[in-house]
Order: sequence, then structure tokens, then C-alpha cells
Amino acid sequence: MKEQLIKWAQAGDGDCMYKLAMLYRNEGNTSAADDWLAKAVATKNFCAIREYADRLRKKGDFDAAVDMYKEVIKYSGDAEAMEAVVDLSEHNIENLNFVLDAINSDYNEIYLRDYKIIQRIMSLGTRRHNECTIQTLQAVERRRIASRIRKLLADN
Amino acid sequence: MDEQKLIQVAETGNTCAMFELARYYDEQSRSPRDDKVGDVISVEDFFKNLEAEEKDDPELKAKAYKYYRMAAESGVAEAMTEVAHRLYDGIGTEKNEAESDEWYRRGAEAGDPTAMRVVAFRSDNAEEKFKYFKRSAELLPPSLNKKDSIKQTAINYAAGRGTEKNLVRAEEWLAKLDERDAALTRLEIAQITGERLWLEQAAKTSPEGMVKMAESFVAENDFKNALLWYKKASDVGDFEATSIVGDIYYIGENGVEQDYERAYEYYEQAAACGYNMAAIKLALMIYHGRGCSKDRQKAQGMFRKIVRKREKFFGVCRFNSVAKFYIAKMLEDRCRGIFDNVLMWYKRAAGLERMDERESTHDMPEAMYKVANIYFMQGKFAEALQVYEQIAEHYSRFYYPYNVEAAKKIMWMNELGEGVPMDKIKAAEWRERLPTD
Repeated sequence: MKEQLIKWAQAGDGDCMYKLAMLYRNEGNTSAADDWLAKAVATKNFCAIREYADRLRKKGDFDAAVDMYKEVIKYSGDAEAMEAVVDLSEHNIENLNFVLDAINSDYNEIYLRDYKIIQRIMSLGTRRHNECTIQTLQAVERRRIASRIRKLLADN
Repeated sequence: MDEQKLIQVAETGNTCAMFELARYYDEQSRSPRDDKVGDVISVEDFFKNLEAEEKDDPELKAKAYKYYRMAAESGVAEAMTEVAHRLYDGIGTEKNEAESDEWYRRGAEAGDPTAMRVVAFRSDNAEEKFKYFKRSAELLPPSLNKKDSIKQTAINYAAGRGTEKNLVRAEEWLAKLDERDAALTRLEIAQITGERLWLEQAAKTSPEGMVKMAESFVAENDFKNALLWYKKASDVGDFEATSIVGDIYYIGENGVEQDYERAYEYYEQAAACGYNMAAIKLALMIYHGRGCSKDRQKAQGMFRKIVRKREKFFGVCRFNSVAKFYIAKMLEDRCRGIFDNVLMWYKRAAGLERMDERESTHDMPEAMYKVANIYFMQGKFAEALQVYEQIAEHYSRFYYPYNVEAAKKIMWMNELGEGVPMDKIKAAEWRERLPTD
């Protein structure tokens, strides 16, 4: 499998670059792992960006980590990435507002069981809000993070 | 009963005999497993009965229709309604909705309350609706779901639909319902009229009213009062409201301080009532160590319990995809490699493998993507491609990153021709579908 991954990664498959990076990491070859991870990030592979952000955070390169987490947020409403940005930029109003805007651009209703609301959600092509999907849980998380940001913005 | 004799009498034009004969054939044509209205049966029995119904004797059904029709044409109101039912469902005769409508109308005009109720529900004319709801509410025996007609009559009086608005009359009709139905009707009136008074009255007695009251405060962003009403509903046993109280504390909504410990308590209470949504949130709090100490093992035990559990009201737990996903995620974190067990749980979370045939599945793009990746790393390219294609085709905003990644993957598999035959044209097609940024 490794040979195949190398071949595909060399051809430009970002996902295989990421997988190869993970394989090298498991083997303990961190420099090769870091190298391939950086290449995968350059192809905008979603999982690689997510992984790279976590690595940068662990290494203490917080500004770069925040930039990566922001990329993740741009792609998806990933609550963990949002929380990470808030954790790392409690006094950075611009970053806090970036996350708040991302939260507000999503549909985060979790309380109202009104028929019209359900209709509205159906029309968005999603499921009823009161079924516990991973999206519902993410909406709860997004609301919690938004609350936290509002408090931080008020303190700042 | 002497069938031949009855036929002879019916053929002479005796409407009673016609109707009796029709009922006789009707009963004979039904499977002995048929349940009476109001019977409580299990889901298994329900489906068995459906199968049995398909085996019902069509000849007897046709005979029943024939004599109902004869009685209806001779002016028997109840028979008119029976004819209308059969024309509507195509039982013993060809399906004919237009003719069915006509017979319901004739039945209603001839004084059959069941037909009146059907006409009332279907009519677009407010006056006609009101007239027939009221008449059927007066005439129907309680065993035939009279309360629908009573409810509608009360609503029409309260909202002034098809009649003059008359709150005294509305209250008189509401008094004919039991407390819960009256409260639910008041809620409906509140929704139709937008008058808060009805909502406040409903909130005095019913948990549904309390929840709606809470929701009205949520809509105004007043979470202090919303919390108050959700707590009231929770106190009278609405476990969904209990879970929402947990949400409000967990999130720390407008005017309510975030309090993980209290959120934990409320989720725990709701979970103890068998509410899986709360059980999942509780397990996640334990998973993340919020409001309690982090305990991954305990969280996994809880997720497994949720997966095993059959819900009180829905048979199969509707929420267990999330639990399955977390089981897989924890197994994956622990084993740091590809194991069949991890694949099995991701497949279950993604709905690609069912633990129970009646399980419903949810959008779980991440789980599907994990499955595809594991297949890929195992060298099972055909299987991987199939799942990647499912993800790529199933576009929704939640799928977006996985959607794009899956499309990229398919493009590369076709481009390089590894695992699948090389297909540059297909690869180019998939490349075109990728977002430009």
C-alpha cells in the first residue's frame, strides 16, 4: 500500500499525500510525515488542513494554527475548529468576529418545534432539528461557542 | 343468518336487507386478524395485518360494495358513506375519487355524521366546513372520534371562521373535551389567531402549552423566561423540556449563565426517562469532561448502551448514528490503525450496515468518508469507489468538504487507473465538478 500511496501522492493526489503523512507518522518518520502533510495542505485537502492546524497548535505556533483553523471553518461549520480559534484568540476581536460570523451564517435553531420552522429546515434540504443528528449537536456547540464569544467581546 | 333469504328480500328493494347483506359480506371479507378502531397493536402485528388484508376475499368485497351501493341509491345515508369510502380506497370496486366525493356529499346531506366530517375536512368553503363540523359533533357517537369535530367547532367559533366569532360558544365546545385535548385545541387556536391569551390558558394545564410558552420567549430571545417555562414543563414530566433546560445551561444563552454542572444534572434526568437525545449529550459531556471529569471509558459504555437501547416510542433508537460514530471514533483513537471493528462501527454510523432492519439513518458524511478511506487503505478500491461516489453525489451543505474530497478521490482513481480501470474522460468530468477555489 505504501508504494501505491507514494506513487499517487507524487502524481498530486492530496488525499494520498495526507494518508502517506499519517503512515510515516505511525512509523515514527516525523520529517517525512511533516513534509507530506505540508504538501497535502497545499492541495487544500480538508483532513490535512485540520490535522496541520492541530499540529501547529501542539507546537505552539498559535498564529499559524489559527489561520489553518479559519480555513477549516471556511469549508465547514466544524465546531471544534471554531472552539480552537476562540481558545487561541480570546483577545483578538477580529478572529472572534470571524468565528461569530461563521456561526451566524449557519442555521443554529435548536429550540423551536414550530411546524413552519420544520418546513424551513426541510426546505434547506436538511432534517428536522429535533432529531439528534451530528448536525444538531454541532448547532448546540455553535450556540455555546457564540455565547462564549459574545461574553469575550463584551469583556474586551 | 340466512344469506339466500336476505338476498331475496334485498332484491325486492328492501333497503334494510340490502344494508344488512352488505355488512354481512363486508365482515365476511375481512381477515379475522382485523382490528377494531381504537385497538392498540404492536408494529409487528400491524404489518402482519397489512399482509393479511392483501389476502382479503375480493369477491366478497365486491358483493359488499354492490349491496351498499344498492342501499345508497335507495337513500340510506350510512350506505352512501360506505360507498364513498370504498370508491375512495378502491375496495370492491374501481377507485374513483370524484365519485367518492360526490357520495360523501350525498351522505352528508342525507344526515350521516361520518360523511359530514369528511366533507368538512375536505371543503374549501369556511361556512360549509363550520356547518358540517358542528353537525357531526352533535350527531356522532363518542366512539367515532367525535372530538375532532368538537375541536374544529371550537376553533371555528374562536377564530370566527365560517361563523361569527363567539368566545362563549368556543368555551362551551372546549368544555366538551377532556383537559388535555382542550389545552391542545387552545394551542391550535393561539396559532391560528395569534392571540396570546389562548396560549397562556393552554400553558396553565398542559406541558405542550408550557413548551409553546417557553418557545414564545425563545423567539423573543428571552431565555430567562423560556427557562422558567421549560422547567415547568419538565416538572410535569416533559423529558424533552428537561433536556432543553440542560441545553440552555450548557450553552449559557442570553441572560442565563453557562453552568455545565446543572446542564449535566438536567441531561441526566432526561436520559433517565429514556430520552436518548439527552443521553447522547450526557455521554458527550463525559467524553469532553464538561460538568464532570473526563472519562472516555464511561462515555463509550454509555454510547454502547444507547445503541443497544430500543426507544420507548419509536422502537428503534433514532439517535444512535451519533453514538455509533463516537464508538468508532474512540476505537480508532485507541487502536491507531485499521481494524475491522472500527470499520464495522463506522459502517453502522454511516447506515451502510444496519443492526436492525427498521433503523433509520442520518446524514453522517464524516462516517461515510471514514468508511471509504478505510476501504481504500485496505486496498479494496472497488468498495472505496462506491462509497466515495455516494458521498460525492449526495450534495448538501453538511457534506461539502467530504463531497469535494470524495470527488477529488474519484478523479484521481480514474486518472491513475489504480484499483479501477484508467478512464481519463471520467477523470476530466470529475475534475470539472470540483470548486474553482
